[in-house]
Amino acid sequence: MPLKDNAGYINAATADKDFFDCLSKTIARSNLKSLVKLLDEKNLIYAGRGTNQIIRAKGFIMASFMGLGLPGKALPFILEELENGKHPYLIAGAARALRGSETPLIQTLPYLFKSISNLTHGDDTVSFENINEEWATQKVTSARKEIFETFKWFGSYAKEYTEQLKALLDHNTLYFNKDTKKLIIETIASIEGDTRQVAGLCCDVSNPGHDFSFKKYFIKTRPLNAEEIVLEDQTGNIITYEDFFAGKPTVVAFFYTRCDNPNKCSLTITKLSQLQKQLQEKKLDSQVKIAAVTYDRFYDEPFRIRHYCENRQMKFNDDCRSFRVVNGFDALKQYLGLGVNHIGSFVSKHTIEIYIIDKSGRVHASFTRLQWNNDIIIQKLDSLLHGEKTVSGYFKKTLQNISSVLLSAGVAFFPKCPLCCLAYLSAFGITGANAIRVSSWLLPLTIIFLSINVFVLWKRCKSCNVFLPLYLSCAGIILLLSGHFVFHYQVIAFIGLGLIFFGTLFNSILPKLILNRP
Amino acid sequence: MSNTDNNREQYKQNVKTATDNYRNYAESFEKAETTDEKNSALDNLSYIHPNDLKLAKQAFNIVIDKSVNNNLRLKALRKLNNYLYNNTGPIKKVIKIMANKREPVIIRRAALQSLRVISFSSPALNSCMGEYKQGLRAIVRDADPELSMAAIEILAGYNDPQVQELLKEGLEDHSKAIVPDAKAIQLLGLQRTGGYNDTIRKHLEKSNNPDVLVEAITALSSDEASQNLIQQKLEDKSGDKYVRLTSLSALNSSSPDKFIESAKKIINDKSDYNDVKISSLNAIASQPRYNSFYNDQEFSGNVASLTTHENEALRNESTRYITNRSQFLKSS
Repeated sequence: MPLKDNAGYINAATADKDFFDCLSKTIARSNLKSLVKLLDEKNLIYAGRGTNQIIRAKGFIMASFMGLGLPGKALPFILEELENGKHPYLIAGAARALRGSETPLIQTLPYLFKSISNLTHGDDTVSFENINEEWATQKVTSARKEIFETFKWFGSYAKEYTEQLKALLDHNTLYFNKDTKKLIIETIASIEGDTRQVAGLCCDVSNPGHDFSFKKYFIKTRPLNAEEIVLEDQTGNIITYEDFFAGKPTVVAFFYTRCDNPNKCSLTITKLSQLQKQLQEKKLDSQVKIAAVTYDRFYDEPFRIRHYCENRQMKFNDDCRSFRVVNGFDALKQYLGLGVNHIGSFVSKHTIEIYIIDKSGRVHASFTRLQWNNDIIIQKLDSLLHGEKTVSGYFKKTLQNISSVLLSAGVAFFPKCPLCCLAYLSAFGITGANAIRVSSWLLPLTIIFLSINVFVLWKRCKSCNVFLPLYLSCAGIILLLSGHFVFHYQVIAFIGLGLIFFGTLFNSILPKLILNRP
Repeated sequence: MSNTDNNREQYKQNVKTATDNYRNYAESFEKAETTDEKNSALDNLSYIHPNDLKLAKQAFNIVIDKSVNNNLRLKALRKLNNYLYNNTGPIKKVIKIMANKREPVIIRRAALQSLRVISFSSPALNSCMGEYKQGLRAIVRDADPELSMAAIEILAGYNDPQVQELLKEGLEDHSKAIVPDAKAIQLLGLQRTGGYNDTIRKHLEKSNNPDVLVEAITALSSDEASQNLIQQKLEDKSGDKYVRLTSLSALNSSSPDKFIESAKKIINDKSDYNDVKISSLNAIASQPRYNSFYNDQEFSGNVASLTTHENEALRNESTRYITNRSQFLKSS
């Protein structure tokens, strides 16, 4: 979503001060929908902007939710920072944001608790008074303080965490100074003193990020120019996207070796190695491919990615490789909607992401922002490998393929004039001229059906990046309407009908024709 | 008695002597009343043991007492690093001393030095990291250049965004500079996400100062957009030698193809400097892209001609190259 200031749209050339002024105005307008979109690191306003600026913008927006109210769609971004973030400003902003919720969301507590340990490398003083402030001088707070203030705000909703909080006092004596310990004691007292009655927690404290209801996997159907994408693997072999990703389902995760957050890239590759081991144990390793692709295509030379992955126990073979994208990274980024932002050749901000790609190269499922669970990945792979063999899987796939043909046939054979209507009614044994009454709405109805058909075709052609069926059907529609209304020559109209039908039929068999061309 | 037993006995004796000495000096410090007595006792004590709480507190009281002689405060502070290491309360007080402009500079510098020493691994300082950084920010523009520079360096090491902005402003407008250009570039180069590369690249393009160029090349060594510029610096025979060697190292690490291309030009050019040639040959030996140079007949011929060069180091490097090449050709 482009932001606009007095000089025009915000872009990489906009000065930092103007950028932050514009952001402040957006926050002042309290448009939550716009603000949520600004939490996405791949938003165009962050293009070419440095890590510091992105952190300040995201942290400030998150903190503003405390006063504006917490929109549900912002939760994945907030939980991502609590679960995996290291930066005190972002963690403080995320902890504040939770206090903007109308009622305490107990599902978020494991993430809030996890953020305490993410700060063991060091907290910092922060201020959310002014986004342009050079130093944190007014109403100074800290990430730890904000975390414990949020626990206090949860009150009795966080009662199942009192033991864990007490344990912090016993086991982390050196990491918490006297003030923090006092704050923890106050937090525990506040939780225990809250008399509100709350039902028990739903989630496992020790394992945050465990298949939450608001954490969805989704299927993306952006077009992919697979020919553009050229990959270099960990041994320096150059291959195309199709060479690796077609034929078998693939699990692909993203990382880069210069990432300094142990909760992100390092853990991603470690978990991918664990997944490889689990697949071997379940004897699925011969049916599934694994790919680790670096975001940092310039710095991450083959030997770097090889050492990085091998040091995290990845065992390379023909079906398990690590790649850098030599050519076409933008095409891949657009196709998968990768959560990464670059400044020059450097990664300035990125998220955690893993995708399951089916054997024809389409995205079957994706897990982004929060830590994924390997068991769920295996379940998804299992359903992908065996789902089509079941009756319901076969039925679902067949229905998917023939749906557009049925729609087209419906349009083709739908009565489009009073005479046709009469003929149809006669065929069903009903006679009489009553059907002529419907002539007034038959034309608009036909146009609506044709429009739906064109829209469905457009969506499907876009996903496959082959537009011939759409062109055929559009030509058919023009012939049908002009033959009937302009030239009054029915043969042209029938040719038009035929083109619509063949266009749609062609579209339904597209996946088979482009099986090796995702 | 064997030598090992002798050594063990000697060691035990040394430990006992040191412990006895420590106890004696500690006692004399405890009993000391005048400044001279305290000074002399502290001179003898090499450190104050963190478990010696009473003694440590007594010394720490000297540190925080402004009415005490500065030299004595200084000595006491320097003996207390082990005590500070695990105690957040005293750490906070030392941070305040460091940031307090009314304290003597000599004491503030010592306070910063103590904090710097324990910051390497002290969990107690880690728990006061917010206060520590805030204290450092307070002295970034301090009148004492030593304190100011140290604060800037430490904060830049923590990737402090505000300090990075100040450094960037100084590079863009010299009237706002808080450190020299080369230092600012060195510190901005610590930010691994490359947010300041455009500013640094401008200096690499325009500056004639070798110190600035060396720091800029180091900072931009893994920046894709700067590789052509770095290659130009490497191939510029009129340029500073150290700038060229830094460029060589940067390209060797980040752009092997560009490095090999330039290294070949350097070796093939009879008028280029010997030490640049030596470094090029040395670096090429570590490149895994063997085919691009071992199979190059002309280049390898030129290297072979250097095996009889009068410069010994160049002779050795070229001989090593030729030996490695023949092994490579045999194995392939």
